[in-house]
Amino acid sequence: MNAAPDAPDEAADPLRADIAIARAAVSATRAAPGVERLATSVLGGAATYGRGEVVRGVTVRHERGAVHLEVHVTMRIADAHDLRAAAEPVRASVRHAVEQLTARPVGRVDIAIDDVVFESEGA
Amino acid sequence: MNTLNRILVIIGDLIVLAALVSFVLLIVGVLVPETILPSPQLAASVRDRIPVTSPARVAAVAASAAVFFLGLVLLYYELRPGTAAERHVMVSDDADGRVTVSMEGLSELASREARTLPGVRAASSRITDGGRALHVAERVTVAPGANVPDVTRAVQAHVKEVVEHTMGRPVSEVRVHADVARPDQERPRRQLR
Repeated sequence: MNAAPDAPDEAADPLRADIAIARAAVSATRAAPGVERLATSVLGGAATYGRGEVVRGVTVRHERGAVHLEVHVTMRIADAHDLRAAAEPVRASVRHAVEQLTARPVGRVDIAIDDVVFESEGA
Repeated sequence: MNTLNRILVIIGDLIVLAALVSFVLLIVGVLVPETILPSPQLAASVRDRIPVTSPARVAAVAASAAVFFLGLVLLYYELRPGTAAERHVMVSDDADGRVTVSMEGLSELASREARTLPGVRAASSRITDGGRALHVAERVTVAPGANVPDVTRAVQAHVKEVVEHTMGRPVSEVRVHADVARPDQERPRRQLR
């Protein structure tokens, strides 16, 4: 997948590139069906750190030339829902968004469901 | 936080804690600068900066204690036994990545399902990952007059079915501790299945 024209230069500024990838992943996660919110705990939560900026809820790491992501979410699910099926649209959305941004292959996209809320309980 | 950042935070925190302890020991006079610093000039410079008046010493010790406490809190969060990954249960793991769910979220789901059953007044769950299968410990409060064996059997069957469907993984056992609620609010009798 080719990187978008406005994608940051990963070789020249990897920290800025990671922040851009994390932000794309956050936007894609929020847009995915079933996502109540990102898990953005300040203490001990997953985050991507740049120079003077931080994107919480998403971790970006690089292994063997590929970009791997870990996304922490609170999912809104129906009663007795299949969590694997609930997580698939999130993963697909994140993968697609990041592939538009980076020339590197997107490897594993881990989805950590930190909490669940139930549709029958309302917002 | 990635591993390198975590290591840097832990090392930095330990250095700050050691420096604060040394600083306090210098202030109260247990240590003298010349014994811990290699350079006489540096030791003299430190000696000049040690507060000499009582209020200044108290303020310095209080500030050091506050920073020390914050350092301990930070260290705790970095070193606590259950890492984020360990507090999650694996749902699936394949080439595309893994899906995990927090113990708390899954336990709440199991508790919620148990509470939907007739005769169950309250329920709380604890789920552990045994590797090949999940283990569920369910504590339920049964309504007075309900048949406890029937209720606990229903809880076992329903919770097992729901957790297996939700997680896509087998549940090897559902242990149910049943308390019988009493209208007079006395301590409930307990049965174990």
